[in-house]
Amino acid sequence: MKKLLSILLVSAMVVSLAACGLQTSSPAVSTEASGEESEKPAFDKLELLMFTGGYGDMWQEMVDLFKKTYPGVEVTAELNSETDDKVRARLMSDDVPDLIYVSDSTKFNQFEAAQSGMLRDMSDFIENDVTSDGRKVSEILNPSAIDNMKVGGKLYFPGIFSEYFGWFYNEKLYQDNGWEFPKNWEELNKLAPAMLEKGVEPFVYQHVIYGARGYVMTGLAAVGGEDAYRAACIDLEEGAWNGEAAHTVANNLNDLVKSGYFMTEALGMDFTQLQVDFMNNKLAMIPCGTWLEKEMEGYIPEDFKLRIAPLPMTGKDGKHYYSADQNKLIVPEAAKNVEAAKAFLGVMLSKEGQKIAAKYGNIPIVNDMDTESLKEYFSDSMLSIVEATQSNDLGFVNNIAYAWYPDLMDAIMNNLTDLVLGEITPDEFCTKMEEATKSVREDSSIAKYYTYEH
Amino acid sequence: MKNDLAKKKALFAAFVIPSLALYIYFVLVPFGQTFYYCMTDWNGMTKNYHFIGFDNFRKLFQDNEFWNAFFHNIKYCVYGGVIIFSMAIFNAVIVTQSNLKEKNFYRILFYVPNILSPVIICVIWSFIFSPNWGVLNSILRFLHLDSLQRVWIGDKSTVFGALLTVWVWCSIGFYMLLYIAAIEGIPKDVFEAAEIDGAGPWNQFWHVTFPLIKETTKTSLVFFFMNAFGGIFSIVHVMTNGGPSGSSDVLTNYMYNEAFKSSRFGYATAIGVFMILVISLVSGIMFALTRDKD
Repeated sequence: MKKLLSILLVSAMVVSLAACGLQTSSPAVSTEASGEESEKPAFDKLELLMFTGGYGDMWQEMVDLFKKTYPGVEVTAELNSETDDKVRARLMSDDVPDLIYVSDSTKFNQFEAAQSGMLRDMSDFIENDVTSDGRKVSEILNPSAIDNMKVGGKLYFPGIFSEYFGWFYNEKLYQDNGWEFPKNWEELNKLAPAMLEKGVEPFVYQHVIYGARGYVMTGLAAVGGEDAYRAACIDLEEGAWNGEAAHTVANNLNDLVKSGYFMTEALGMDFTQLQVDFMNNKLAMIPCGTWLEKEMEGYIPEDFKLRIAPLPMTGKDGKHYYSADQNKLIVPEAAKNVEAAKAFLGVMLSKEGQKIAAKYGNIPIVNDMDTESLKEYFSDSMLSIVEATQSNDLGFVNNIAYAWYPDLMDAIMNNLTDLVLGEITPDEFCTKMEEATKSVREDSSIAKYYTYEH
Repeated sequence: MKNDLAKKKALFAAFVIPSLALYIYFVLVPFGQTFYYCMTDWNGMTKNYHFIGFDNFRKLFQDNEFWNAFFHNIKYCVYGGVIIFSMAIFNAVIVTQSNLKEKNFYRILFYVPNILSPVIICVIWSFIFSPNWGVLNSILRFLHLDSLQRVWIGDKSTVFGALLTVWVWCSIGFYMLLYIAAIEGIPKDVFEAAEIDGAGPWNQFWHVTFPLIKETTKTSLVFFFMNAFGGIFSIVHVMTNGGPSGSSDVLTNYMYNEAFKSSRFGYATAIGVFMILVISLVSGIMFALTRDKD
């Protein structure tokens, strides 16, 4: 009897261990086939793996719109903030989703994946497909959605939506104190003492990545035009970091720090603490993406007038610059339901899809965006960006270098920190960046995405 | 009788084989694969990669960031070792051999960090160390010691001490428990005999307790070195990700970033192999030095 009991217990243990491997349920995964089956599309299934993060319910609303547009299609959607950690394992397994949105290229580098042959060339979607409301993708998609997304001449990431990155501030704080958001570095330096007197830190970035993106990379373009940014961060040209733009950017920040106008305590705080300080009017401005409003929903005080402005720096071409980043949606080479994935992209590009994107801080990169009808969906801070995209006085630098050259980004972040800590001079910053760029340029194992033939 | 033996062996195998199979598949096989992947240029994605021999190790020996991270691991071993072991042994002696009524409370108090999630611990300590929000600087302000306030994890001169504090706080309880078990295993009559011979508390500790817990120290040191290289990862990654500017980086964090940020899985695996060799070498030397001489 005792032996029988022992054997039964062992069997139970083995069975339960085996069952662990078979469990697939997850609270974030939904599998539904929607309502009536009227006109059947050419696909019956779609699996999505999408990062949510600051986008909140955007992807869920897109899924709902897709189901309404294509009833009868079984949609499996994993939508949460942990998906970036799962993409690599899913792509290397036999269980591959059909459409994936990766937010953090430091967890999964989409360009590396394209180089490795894991992603599908989506050029046919751009050339041949239509949106769910019948508009030709080739006619409505802005060329900038395509230009930076190519790898070896193929388009792996239809960059349909763009999020923008600028400097957020509370317009009410400025109005109450009779301040105007500075238009250039001199104005910032003049305003800074008055801000400090009121207990408001004039200038800070809440994470060194944001400093690299919102200050260094945008600053290169602001001072030297887009060419200066491209030379330094995309084409990795010799001498680019020793040029006037790089020296001005380094010296400007160094002077600000030495004057006591940069909040060095921020280096020991995390970005949530700093964003809360911003909401409590302790910071005059912070760099962030257009997801900020949705991310901080519920924490923004009622009388807080959140606005966004470009980096207060200008130069050669007199333009101010924002940084931009296209959402890189990917379709794996091994996806089983490619037509369904294309149909989902078509839904995103529809007029209804654009409204959903607008609500959550994304701007469709289309030629026929109806700004008037989208105005009610954009927040006040977003509207200023939307207007900027239509203006010739403002420029945009694509943040793509972050994904292409992680080693270069590390160098920018480390040297930026050393500059702020006073460990290196502005000249040393430029020299070290020049060395780092040379190292990336000469490393044959790192794929290059030059603008032109070198 | 032979039948009984065979049945016992069959029963034994029925219990052991499933666990052994899982252990081989999920631990030993990946461990063995490590020694292959460290000699490739695998990027963690493609199935097309190349065998490159010892190139990753050649690169490793010329990589300043690697040596920077390794140096920090050595610092954690030295400083952490002295503080953790001395405090663990001290606490274990107090808990087992003193007349404190609150002994059990201290046992639980020191062990609590071991049952908390490492990420939660790191988030809590990030708030403690926050220059504007944090308890530490607030206490210093309250005590009119404003000049001692620092940007604890944002300043290169203080970040090591700050992370060391967190690691020590997390680690003491585990080693204390090992030493408590060791000390409670020492027969009471040994202490009685020492007392009769006139040995005071310090002499009892140095001549009775300490020699008799040597085996526990040997085992604990192996765990310690593994922790100093592997366990420290969560603290560094969550609190500073090796910053500011690499000043708190350790090998496991550097290895993680090389693998997942830079897609250099082959090179990251070589770093892992280096750590295995270092830990094995240090453990081997330590066992040799502490071996009982016949």
